[in-house]
Amino acid sequence: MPIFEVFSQQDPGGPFIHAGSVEAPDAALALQYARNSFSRREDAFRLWVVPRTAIHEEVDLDLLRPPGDHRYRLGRYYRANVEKRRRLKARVADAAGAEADA
Amino acid sequence: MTPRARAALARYLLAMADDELVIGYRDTEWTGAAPMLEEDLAFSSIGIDEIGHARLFYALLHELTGQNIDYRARRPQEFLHARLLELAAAPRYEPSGEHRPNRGWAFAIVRQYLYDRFDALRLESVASSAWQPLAEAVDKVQREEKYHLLHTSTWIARLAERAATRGRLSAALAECCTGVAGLFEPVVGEALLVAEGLLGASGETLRSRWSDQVGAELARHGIAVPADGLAPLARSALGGRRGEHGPEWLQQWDDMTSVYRLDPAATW
Repeated sequence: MPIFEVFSQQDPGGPFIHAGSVEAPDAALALQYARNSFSRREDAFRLWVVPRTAIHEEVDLDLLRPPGDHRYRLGRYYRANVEKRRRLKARVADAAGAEADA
Repeated sequence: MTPRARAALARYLLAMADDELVIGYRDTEWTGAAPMLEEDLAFSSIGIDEIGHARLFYALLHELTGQNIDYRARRPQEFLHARLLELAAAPRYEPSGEHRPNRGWAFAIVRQYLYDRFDALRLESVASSAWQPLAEAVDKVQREEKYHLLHTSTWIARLAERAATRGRLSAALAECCTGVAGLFEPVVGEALLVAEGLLGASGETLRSRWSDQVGAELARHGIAVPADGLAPLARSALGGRRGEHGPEWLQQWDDMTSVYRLDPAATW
């Protein structure tokens, strides 16, 4: 029997979070079972079920966590660069000002 | 409200509550025995909903008459549920190792479906009651019943799809239908309730609406109505609304009240 992965949204507009899975002969029953198994405390706002076969998976860590140094792609690293550029620009401007005064 | 009308409405509420309690209890017996784990949860959760509705109706009865209903302390012949609902469907495992298969899953799901169709019409009828507390309480119950009908209708459609299960569906339908008339059996004073607007429709009116709806749904799935009709007036179906029940009820009553009867004075 097919397996369906269940995703539930807790608040309007919020992300759908994986809640678990159910076994069911079709999507209609999968939704009914999902409602019972994963929204019994009346906490879901919306429910999705997706046939497990529709989900494609990547687990290769060479792809997901490449070994090279990619720190420059991180926001933190970029921010450091911005700061560095601001300091450089200020130094250039100061130097130009000193030349004009002289 | 006249004392006679009040007494009749109290009986009607009691019958409604007992229906819900008895089928709800039977449904929960499927925990661990339904065709699959997901259905264990779905079906016993429907049972728990029904028991919740019974509690609500017992509370309304208290509001109407001041009478406290503790189902555990009642004698078996004081229950007014339809006899169809007391029939054992789930397999029974005795501690001694004895095993009784009982009527099985197809019977349970078909009975619940037929009952849900009936219950929806009955709720519609009480929603227009001139007794305001009842009319107001029904809305929430109706919204919960929506899931029950969705679920049982889905099962009926699926069982009707394949030759292998169609036979089981038809057999279960024939077996259930011999008891259906008991659902529509009037409680004493029902005519008065309809006349005074405390009830929207009589059991007889509901029976004809029910037969139309169920007949149409079965026809859509290409399932034939049993030879004797959907709700034949079989003697064995009737008596529940007067407290007359069969041997399976005594067993269920015994199960439901055994812990309570160990020490009726205990506080739980």
